[in-house]
Amino acid sequence: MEINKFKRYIAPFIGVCIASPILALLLYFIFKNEFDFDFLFGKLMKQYITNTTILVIGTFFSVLVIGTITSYLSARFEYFGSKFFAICFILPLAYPAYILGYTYVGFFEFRGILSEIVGTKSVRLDILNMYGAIFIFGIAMFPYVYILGKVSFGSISSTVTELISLHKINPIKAFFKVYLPLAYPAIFAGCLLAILETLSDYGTVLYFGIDTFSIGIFKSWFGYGDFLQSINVAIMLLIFVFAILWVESLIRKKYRFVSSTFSGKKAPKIKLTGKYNFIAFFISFVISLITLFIPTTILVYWFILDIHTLDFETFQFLSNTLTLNFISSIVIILLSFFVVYMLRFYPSKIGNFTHKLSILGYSIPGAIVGIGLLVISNFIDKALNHVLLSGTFLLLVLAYTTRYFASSIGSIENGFSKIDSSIDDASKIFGKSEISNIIKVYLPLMKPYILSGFLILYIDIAKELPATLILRPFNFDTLAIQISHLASNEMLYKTGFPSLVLVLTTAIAVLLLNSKFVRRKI
Amino acid sequence: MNDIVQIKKLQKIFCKGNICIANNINLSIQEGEIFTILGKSGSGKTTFLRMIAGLETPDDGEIIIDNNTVFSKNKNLEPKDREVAVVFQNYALLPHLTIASNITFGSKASKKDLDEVLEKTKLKGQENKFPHELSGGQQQRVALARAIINKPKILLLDEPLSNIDTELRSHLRVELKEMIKAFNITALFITHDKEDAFYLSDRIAIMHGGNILQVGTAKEIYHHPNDLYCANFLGKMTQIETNSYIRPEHIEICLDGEFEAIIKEITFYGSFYEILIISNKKELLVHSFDDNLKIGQKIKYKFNGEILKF
Repeated sequence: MEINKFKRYIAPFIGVCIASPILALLLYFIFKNEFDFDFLFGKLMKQYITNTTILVIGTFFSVLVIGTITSYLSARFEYFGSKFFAICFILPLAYPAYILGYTYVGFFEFRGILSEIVGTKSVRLDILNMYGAIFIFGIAMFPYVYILGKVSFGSISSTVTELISLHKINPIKAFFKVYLPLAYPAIFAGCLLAILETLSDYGTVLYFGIDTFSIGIFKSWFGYGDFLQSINVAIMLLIFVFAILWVESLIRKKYRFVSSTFSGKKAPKIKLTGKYNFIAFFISFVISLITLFIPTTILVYWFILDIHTLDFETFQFLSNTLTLNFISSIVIILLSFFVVYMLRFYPSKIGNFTHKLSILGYSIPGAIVGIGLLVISNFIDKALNHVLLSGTFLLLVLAYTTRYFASSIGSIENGFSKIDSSIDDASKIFGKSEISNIIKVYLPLMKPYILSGFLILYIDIAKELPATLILRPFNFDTLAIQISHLASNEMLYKTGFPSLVLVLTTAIAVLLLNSKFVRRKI
Repeated sequence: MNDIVQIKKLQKIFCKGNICIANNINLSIQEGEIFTILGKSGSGKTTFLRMIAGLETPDDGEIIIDNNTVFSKNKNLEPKDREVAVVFQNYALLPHLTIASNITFGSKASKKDLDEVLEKTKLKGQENKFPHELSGGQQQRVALARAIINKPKILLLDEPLSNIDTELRSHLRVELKEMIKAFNITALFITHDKEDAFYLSDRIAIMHGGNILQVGTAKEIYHHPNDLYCANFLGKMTQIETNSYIRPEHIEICLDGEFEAIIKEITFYGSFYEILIISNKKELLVHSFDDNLKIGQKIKYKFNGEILKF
């Protein structure tokens, strides 16, 4: 019985450890009491706030429009190429926003690909500005809205569609008055994910010259060597994130009614013919062209241009990326499994609280997590008078754990929720020991969920840039870092090869995640 | 016969709303019998079974299985150490394991034991299949085989017939009784269905609000219920006088009846009619097999069974 009491504290302990970078940052800020008010209310901070706000609002509307159109088309209609486009709409998830940014700059720049196609050198479009950045985030992040929106539109009950046809409501009115409001919670959840990813981005805003909070953190520390100032920016960003989460919770409360309309038989897809078939195809084609075909073609074009001077060190970076990814993903998945298992069998109020704390990391940008871990590692190294943590592989794995724990634990929780409590009881009565039950019962039953959690982690970590930049061990570069370096050195065409390698690996993960192999058991 | 299970002053209160789930329960189950706890949902019967299995911890009391105290103030054995086995409502078979692996899950049973259990549960030839490849009845037999292979001191059955449609249910009920008796095992059966209880049980305990109201054979509790709740729960009846009741099958419509009445309603139930009669401004329920009765008809009736007095 004493052991069981001890087990109740394992999940809370892990939860606190995972949230420790965020907690450390807050504690440091509060106890050091080194508020830089001149800076906090200064011109630079005002600029960070304005730029971040405009970027977030712009991204919100662009992902809202593209994500809603694509998810509605894909979930409710059958048209020429609809199955193909359903995959095309999900694949931009394989692209980090900064790679999409580089390709479009290369496409529109002076003597860029567009001018070569048109044959007039002067054809150019300057997208290295706020509008360009919003466009890039819109096409990079819309799959979050697409995925969640599609599930929601697809789950609408047939009674709703029957009611609409009985009342002879025209399709446009039905969309705005019925279908869209029913899908609001899912669409807003997708928009929130897109916004949080945008806030976390460093590579794109750096290249596009938009001074956001992320840039502020890096500028303060790397540029001015002012660690305290970077913490001040990080805290402001944290407040910004909490404000967004608060607004989201208000919106969620407003649309609580929705779940009652998702029962019963699902509404069948409508088969489009004639001009409607063409319109749906055309819209899907244009969206896929912009979000997937053009960037991929540009990367392939750059790869061909670079083919005789390929830098084969890319494979070393790939190996680094894969090693880091596999180790981090396995650590995170195991921790998620362990925490969910412990909370299921040894629940406690404190465990529920720390669980919420540990999943906070997903909404916290990588730069903040990085800075938080630096605070911890500096503290420990100073206390020991010996460099133990700083610049180690372990620190990077910890950063990813804090940042992406929520995305893996979601999949594991989903899996455990599908296991009936009678299986737990049967294991207790017939099983030999707890460890044997984990190995013989829970791990096999959870296999598809562990795999999907692993794939989600792989995609997220492979694209991660800011925390990796801050915490990576000396001389340890990943593909993402190599691509970012090449782009900042204005060697865009050289990014083609490593970008293609990176996107290929993440695209495989996205396709696997979307495959029946993983989805059928989820 | 020996008492294989003894329950002494068992107490359990759920914190939410201070609901009493087990209120000072004293009970003993004899070796080799099928003992049923019969009660409505929320009466505390499933929690009672879970406390015996060790899946729920009582607040107070004592549980003794085969002269071994498995729960008391100072002792609480793990479920796997109590020598009990459970057949769950949804059978709780492990979907990723074959039938043979499900049956021997966590068990030290030999190949010979497995073969014997497969033979007795009519599962021979199915051992390499997976649970989803079997019918509902076969799945029930697998759950039973898994429970029995370790030769537990007591088999606990948590409403294993409750989610099954009527036709299959009566078939499985017969099968279940045959198998339990074939293994000569003591069983505690939990149900809300009195038909299941009457068919399967050697003795029945009626449970309500965490209390055991009455223990006895099916006939005893039906014909001599302790109180009005038990009487009503086990079958229909009508009040004939203050504190006096009679069951519908104990009223006979006949030409030489003592009392007169008029038929108000007739409901056809297939094998019998349920007839509502009015006699001396009082409504009475009568069961009859007579096809010729009509609404409004004047009849005579008499009491031909025991009058229940509370």
